[in-house]
Amino acid sequence: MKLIKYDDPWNHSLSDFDQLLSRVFGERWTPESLFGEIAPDGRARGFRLDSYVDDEGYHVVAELPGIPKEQIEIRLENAVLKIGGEHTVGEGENKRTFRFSRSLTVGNDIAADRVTAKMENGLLTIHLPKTEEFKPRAITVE
Amino acid sequence: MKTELTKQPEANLAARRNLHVRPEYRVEEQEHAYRVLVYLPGVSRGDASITLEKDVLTIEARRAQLRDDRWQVVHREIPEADFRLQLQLNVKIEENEITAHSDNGVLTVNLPIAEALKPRTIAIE
Repeated sequence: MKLIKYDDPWNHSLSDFDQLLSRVFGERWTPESLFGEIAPDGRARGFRLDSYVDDEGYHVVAELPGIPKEQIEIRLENAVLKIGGEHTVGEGENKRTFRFSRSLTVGNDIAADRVTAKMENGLLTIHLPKTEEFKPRAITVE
Repeated sequence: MKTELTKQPEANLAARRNLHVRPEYRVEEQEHAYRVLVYLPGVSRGDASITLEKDVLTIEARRAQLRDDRWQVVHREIPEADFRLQLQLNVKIEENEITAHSDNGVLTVNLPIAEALKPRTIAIE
């Protein structure tokens, strides 16, 4: 018996190929379920993000393909970074707007005025540098 | 007793990179074509390739390097593997007229339905 994890990023399926026509009628997801906080079936699912840290600061990478950077709001408040926005999909009568948002805790040693964000090919990268006084320093013993 | 996690040797990482992840995608039906939208974050136009062999459409793409090697991981959700999507075209497609364009990490492939399959009205004599 093959166990298939429901939210499996490897997306293994029983067959090697997907069929073009079956995908039209049996859509498993919509942009809302990919980015929005709650999927239509109630499963909580948002866009994927990674967070890293080094001596210089924190770095956050988020997958937001197809979202123009003007529709992304980034907020840093009390050591919590919030990435969100509103996105419109569809044309004509199929037009829908949905909100997406994810928050994560970073650190409270961030120089807020030096935070930068870059959007490239649908990948959002945010750099949050630490303030000078919080950077690790070697201390010599006298 | 070792209390620190040892770093993965480079060889393992390279081997893992050969695994592929199927990207999220959707298929839209249009009047005379099917449109496949493949979500490929971090992939620029030059890093993606589309090939058609018999009736299998293969889309492969290299993921951009997400992180600097000096960065320590705090939280990780994005797989490192490259993308591969294989679609069996169980509809007849006009192969010479397939077009594709890439925008902000979304690859859109236009698959026009073959002429012979387009609906035709037949006059009654």
